[in-house]
Amino acid sequence: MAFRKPIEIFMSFVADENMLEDIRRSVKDAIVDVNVSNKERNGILLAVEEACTNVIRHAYLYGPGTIRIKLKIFPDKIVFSIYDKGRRFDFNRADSPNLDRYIKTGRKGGLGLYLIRKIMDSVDYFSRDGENELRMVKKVPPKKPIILKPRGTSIRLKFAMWASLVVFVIVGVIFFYYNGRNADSIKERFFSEARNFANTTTLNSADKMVVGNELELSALVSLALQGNPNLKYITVVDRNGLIWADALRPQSILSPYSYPPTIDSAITDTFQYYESEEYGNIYHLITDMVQNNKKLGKINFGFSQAVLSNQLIKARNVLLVIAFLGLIVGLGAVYLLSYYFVKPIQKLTEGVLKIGQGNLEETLPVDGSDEFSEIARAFNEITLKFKSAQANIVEQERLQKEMQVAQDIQHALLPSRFPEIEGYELAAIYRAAKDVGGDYFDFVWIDEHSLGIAVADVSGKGVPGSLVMTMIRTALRLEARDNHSPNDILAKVNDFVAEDVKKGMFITIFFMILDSKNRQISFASAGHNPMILYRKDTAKCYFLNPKGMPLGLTLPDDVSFGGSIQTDKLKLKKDDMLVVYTDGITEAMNNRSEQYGNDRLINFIKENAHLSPEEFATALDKDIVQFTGNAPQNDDITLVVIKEKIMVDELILEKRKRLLKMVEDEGMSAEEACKKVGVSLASFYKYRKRWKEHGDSGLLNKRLRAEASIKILPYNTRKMILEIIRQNPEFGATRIQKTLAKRGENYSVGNIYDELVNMRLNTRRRRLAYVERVGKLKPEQKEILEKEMLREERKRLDRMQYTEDLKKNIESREVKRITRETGRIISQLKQIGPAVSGNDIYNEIAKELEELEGGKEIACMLQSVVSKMNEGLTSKKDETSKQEPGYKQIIKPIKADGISGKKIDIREKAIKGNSPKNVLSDFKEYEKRLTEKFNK
Amino acid sequence: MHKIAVTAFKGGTGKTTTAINFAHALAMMGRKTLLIDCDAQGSTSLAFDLNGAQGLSDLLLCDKVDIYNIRPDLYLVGSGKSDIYMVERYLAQQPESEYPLAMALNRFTGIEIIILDCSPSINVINSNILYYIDKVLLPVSMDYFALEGAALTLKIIDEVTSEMGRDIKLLGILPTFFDVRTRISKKILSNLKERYDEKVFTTAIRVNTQIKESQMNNKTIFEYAPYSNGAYDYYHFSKEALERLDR
Ligand SMILES: Nc1ncnc2c1ncn2[C@@H]1O[C@H](COP(=O)(O)OP(=O)(O)OP(=O)(O)O)[C@@H](O)[C@H]1O
Ligand SMILES: [Mg+2]
Repeated sequence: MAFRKPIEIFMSFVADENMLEDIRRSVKDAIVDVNVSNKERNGILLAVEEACTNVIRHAYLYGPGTIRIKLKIFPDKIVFSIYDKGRRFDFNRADSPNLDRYIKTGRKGGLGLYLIRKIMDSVDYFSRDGENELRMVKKVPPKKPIILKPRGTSIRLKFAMWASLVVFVIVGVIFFYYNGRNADSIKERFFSEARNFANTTTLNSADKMVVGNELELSALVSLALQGNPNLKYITVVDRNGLIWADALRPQSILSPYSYPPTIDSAITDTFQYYESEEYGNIYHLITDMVQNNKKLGKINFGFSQAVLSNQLIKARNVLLVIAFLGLIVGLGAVYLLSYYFVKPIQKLTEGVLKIGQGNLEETLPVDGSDEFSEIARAFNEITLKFKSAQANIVEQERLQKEMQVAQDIQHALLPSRFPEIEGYELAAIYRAAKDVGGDYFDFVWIDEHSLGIAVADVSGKGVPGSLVMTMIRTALRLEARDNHSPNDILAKVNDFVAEDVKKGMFITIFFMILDSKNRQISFASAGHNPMILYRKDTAKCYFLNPKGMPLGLTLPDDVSFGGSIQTDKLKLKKDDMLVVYTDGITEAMNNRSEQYGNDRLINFIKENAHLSPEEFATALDKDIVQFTGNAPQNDDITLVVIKEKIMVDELILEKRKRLLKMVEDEGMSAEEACKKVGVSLASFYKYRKRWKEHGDSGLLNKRLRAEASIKILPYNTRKMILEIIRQNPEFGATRIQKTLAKRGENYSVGNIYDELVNMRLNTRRRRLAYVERVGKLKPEQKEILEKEMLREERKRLDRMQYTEDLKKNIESREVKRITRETGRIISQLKQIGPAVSGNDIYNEIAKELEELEGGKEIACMLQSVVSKMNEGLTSKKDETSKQEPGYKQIIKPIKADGISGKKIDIREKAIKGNSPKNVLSDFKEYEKRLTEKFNK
Repeated sequence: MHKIAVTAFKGGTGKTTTAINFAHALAMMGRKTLLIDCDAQGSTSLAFDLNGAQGLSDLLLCDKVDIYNIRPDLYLVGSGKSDIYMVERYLAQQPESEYPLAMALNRFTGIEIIILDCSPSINVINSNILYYIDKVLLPVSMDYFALEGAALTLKIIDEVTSEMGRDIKLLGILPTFFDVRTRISKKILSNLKERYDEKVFTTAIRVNTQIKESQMNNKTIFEYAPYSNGAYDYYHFSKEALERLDR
């Protein structure tokens, strides 16, 4: 078997991604008989497809080509060779999935190779004579012949056995019955014939006996013996026991007759059976010869039994033949019947067995409408369902593998070391859900003083999701360096990834920069959850949510991502805390389908803000776990906590002191020191002066305070506002402010108005709509809302109508433009033509032009012609009819040849004409009166 | 010679109004001023009731132009008789499509200040204009998206000019449609000043219905309502702008 020649199959395809499906199908057909499980088969197909994809995407990146595939199917392995004539591929370098490289190429090619290695038993790459070969070997277990062997006695055999038995019994019974009856009748006939014969012979013999004619008697007897083949002997005996005639022994006449030993001479007319050595088996019959009631003697007949038994045997044999025939017919019938009834079952069994051995392509024949075909049909259906279920499992396994890869990538991306940045304490927690959830966080150094922190949530899962993450990671690293503007960084990251992100996928990112030198935090959010700020001194929490759209969305043309996103800035005071997180936290769910939610998070922050970030993060994680209980975690949880550790005053003092020390004590030049610390030379001199006058305290700014004013309101206040709106949607900022003040929350109306704008609840319509969304609206309020909505809708329709009209207008304008223009000029020509001089040249021109189609040159030409004619016309007309429009004076430039013609001096021209009437002749006067009036 | 384009890539911010009244104010202050209507809609020409005169488009297509001395020291070139689509097409067909306008207009001499009223779209004519002018006046209406609009305009101008290697200065940003009564106006104005500080003129043009009326009567605001808020604002703005120009 091992020496059998391998089967070789060649295929060739155009290298195009659309062909992948064909390739897959062809390879699948080629390996259909190979003994591998469906799962493995799918794996093989995946590997081949990946390999071909690589060829198409990489080898033939810059041009078309063909892929050749050679399959060698050995009994114990399959060798796949994929040939291409494209670019060589650095096989050894692509050894393990190298993430950075994927990102740079933006393709998942290398991952494909990773998969191929996992699936195939060996993978090699050769490149010679400009042709590359990727050779993959898959070992397969040798094919076992499928033996269909029903376990136990087959139903058909059983059926045949029982049926045959029944036939046997029936035939047997019939046989014995008829045999018996036959024998009886044969015997009866035999005996009655013998008796009749004996009686006739006896009567005849008696006649001879009476007259004593022993000669005739002898003749009669021997005639009888000859005439009856059954008769073995016949002897006539007189009353005295003397023989009168014996057909066999004529010489024994008048000698006494001795009866055979077992015969009773007294019994007459009855057959007595005995076995004689001389005659064989004999029925002995004794008859009385009677004449006129006088006994004359007796006649002894010996009938041979052999004849009877012969007859019996003959009859039985005939019966036996018949029975045998009957049996054969019966068994034949049994066979046929069993075939007819059992065959479908057998077929069913065979099919089921095949399916049982994993050949799901098998279908059972369905013919007729009896129960068997019902079963077959049902079974086919089951197989079909099973098949699709199996395909599902295969798919799921593939997905799982993918997920695994994705998870590996994702874990490789997350930062392992936590950076340290002066004056801030950081901690982060990342807890992955069972499926890869798509969370990502990262730290990037902007420069030596500033650290960028990104927390992101990718909407897609699996490999595409993690590839997007890798892209974002790379983009961040590329773009964030030395860029201090978070919104700009995010905009650039968006540019970087936008094209490669699949449709329907998007990423939300919160990006912030901690500037340790200026103690400032700037942050931007691309559609991410808000960041929470906890103020130590007021013990209040704020949601910071700068405007911005998620990354990777396809935006309408008039919206730019960069324009949508904005950076906010913030200064922290000592022990203030910032919490950046993903929705895995607030949407963590327990078994009762309750979410962890904002409120719980805020409360937790308030209660635990005294902890260090590290402790805080662990405690929060624990709290969430406690909350969710044993409910499964369905999204990643990411949390970054930042705490300000420095009093800004101290820091500034520290910095300025260091500056002075560097210059005064260490002898560094002032310029260099300033550069190092980052202050201007002027300030340095200012500090030095103050320091010399007041000592250290002089270095401190008078109004030194952390610029902490935040324009938004604390979380709880916002909740209160929402509550007020829910009760009184018609309240505007002023009334809300008053209501709040009553509850001890003092904010200015402006603050509240801004907040309303933020919440998009600044108009009555919006507030009403919000309340309607949330729940209950009084009927009269509903009416108002409806009216407002109607108005809005009408406005919208008007706008739409307007744009629609505009579009139509422009279209029709474009269509009519040339016709109109030409038409106008032509009609002018016609009008003017005859009036100018005598000749018909203009008419001719007009005629010619009528046949032409529009175009720039023509129109231009026409215009110049017309204006020429106009000039001609007007010059001919009376000078007085020339109309000066009001105070307008026309300066006509000297007709120049081409655009680069003569200069046109406007002033000179104007001076030549009449100066028009001045509207405000005395401007100085006007100025004076104007100022006077407005001063009043 | 100062060549100033009144431009904003956002419709209805008061470009035309500003161009007209600024030009007239300058003329009244004794500066020889030429106003050129570069908008296909020809609203400047309409404002002076100048329909069907040969203007910019004819200059470009047929090398003909009528220059109107509409007020003392104030000259006007209308948008022209030829269809502006044709001009667009004509310009687009030129090998160096950005130059023709500059070449044509460079022929005008004897003028101190040239003011071009631009259309709000991004088209060939506008990029031609960028080859000619050396200053930009940006009217920004005090409504939503004002900041974005301004930023966008400046960005585009910046990009185009740096590509061309020209040096175009921002003469200033003029807040228009300033509504004293609304908070929004104030807020936007303060935002604008925060972002562009001294580039923003201290004078803001208030909303004033007489401005609208003046245009309907084919007059400038100084003629139609010389003692209205509009006249006052444009007068002060013009003085400020002139100061900047002379600096
Ligand atoms: N300060 C003002 N107060 C009231 N109305 C004004 C004011 N300024 C301009 N308008 C009016 O607003 C409208 C639009 O102004 P204008 O035509 O100057 O804008 P534009 O920027 O030139 O528009 P376009 O972009 O269409 O060219 C006009 O009807 C004008 O009369
Ligand atoms: Mg205009």
